[in-house]
Amino acid sequence: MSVLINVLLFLPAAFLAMVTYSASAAPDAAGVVRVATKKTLKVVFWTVVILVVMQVIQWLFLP
Amino acid sequence: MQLRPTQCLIYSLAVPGLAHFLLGRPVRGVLALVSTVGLLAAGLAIVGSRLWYAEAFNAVGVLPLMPELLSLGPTVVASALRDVSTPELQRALQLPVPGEHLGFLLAGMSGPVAALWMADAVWIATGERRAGPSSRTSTMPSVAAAASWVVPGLGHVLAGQRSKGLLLGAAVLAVFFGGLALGAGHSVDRGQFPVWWGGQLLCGGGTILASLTTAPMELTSLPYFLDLGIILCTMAGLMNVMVMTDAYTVAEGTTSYGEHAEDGSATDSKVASGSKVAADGQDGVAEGSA
Repeated sequence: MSVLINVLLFLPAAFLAMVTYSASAAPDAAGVVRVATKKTLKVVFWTVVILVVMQVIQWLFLP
Repeated sequence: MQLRPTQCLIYSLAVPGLAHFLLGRPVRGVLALVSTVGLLAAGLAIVGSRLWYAEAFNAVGVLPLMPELLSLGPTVVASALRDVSTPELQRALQLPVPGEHLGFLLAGMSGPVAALWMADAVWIATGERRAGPSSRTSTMPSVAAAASWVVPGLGHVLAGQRSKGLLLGAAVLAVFFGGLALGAGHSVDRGQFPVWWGGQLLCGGGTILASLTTAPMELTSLPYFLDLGIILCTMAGLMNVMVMTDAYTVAEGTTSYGEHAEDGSATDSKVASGSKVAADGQDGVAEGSA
């Protein structure tokens, strides 16, 4: 699969998972979406960090 | 008789409904026993010992990953009574049997149903005492959790959090049916992918529907995204566990959203306060009076 398809699948799936994960954070849908959005951004950020670190390691140690 | 939650779980695992009997709720005890054992027996009547062939793919080699284990006592008894005495019979068990999708489904459903009855026993033993009558919603926690098992989000709607229930239901069902579509309807098939099916069953309504409609369809060619579809359907099941758990606590009346609901900086804001503190918000106002 191309990177684009990966991203297209990963982002909504991560957001929807975060919606259910944040269910206990607020009593209404708007509150849950707000919390889930922040958590999704955090997950995406760390995913990108991990991918970059892995790529750097590959460049350094795997010729 | 008073029981601790751990005792409720152990008794219910051994004999579904036993904790209810000990707690002085014989009618619920009979219902728990009949529904759990009845589902398992109905499933076994269709698939017989093939149930254990389908669960032979397990990680540890000893403990099969089958949802029926949540009704441990009856499953152990049925396992002891199965006939896999000869290699010929074991080979025969690998062959599909007519109506096996329905049989697998009925037997598998006995597990989650037993777990819901366990939750009910725990609520009787502790929750009713902990939360005062004024703090509860009109929906019993176990009923809210069971409703969310069948239709994700329905438990929240019954407990008064309508918009949140619709959002959570849409999230779980989007992932589930997205996965089902990617696998061309074959992502949910206990005969083919039994371990994954155990997770998918946690999204009860979707798995019931898929097991009875799409799973029996003939598989002519392997769908390109089948692996991804299986994973997404299983992910939906695990997501639904969080939805069911939250529905239970919302109906229980022990959820406090506190100040974190405003800035979204924390998610774990449940406290066993015994009072239902509704945060501001359209549904929060409604649930506060529920």
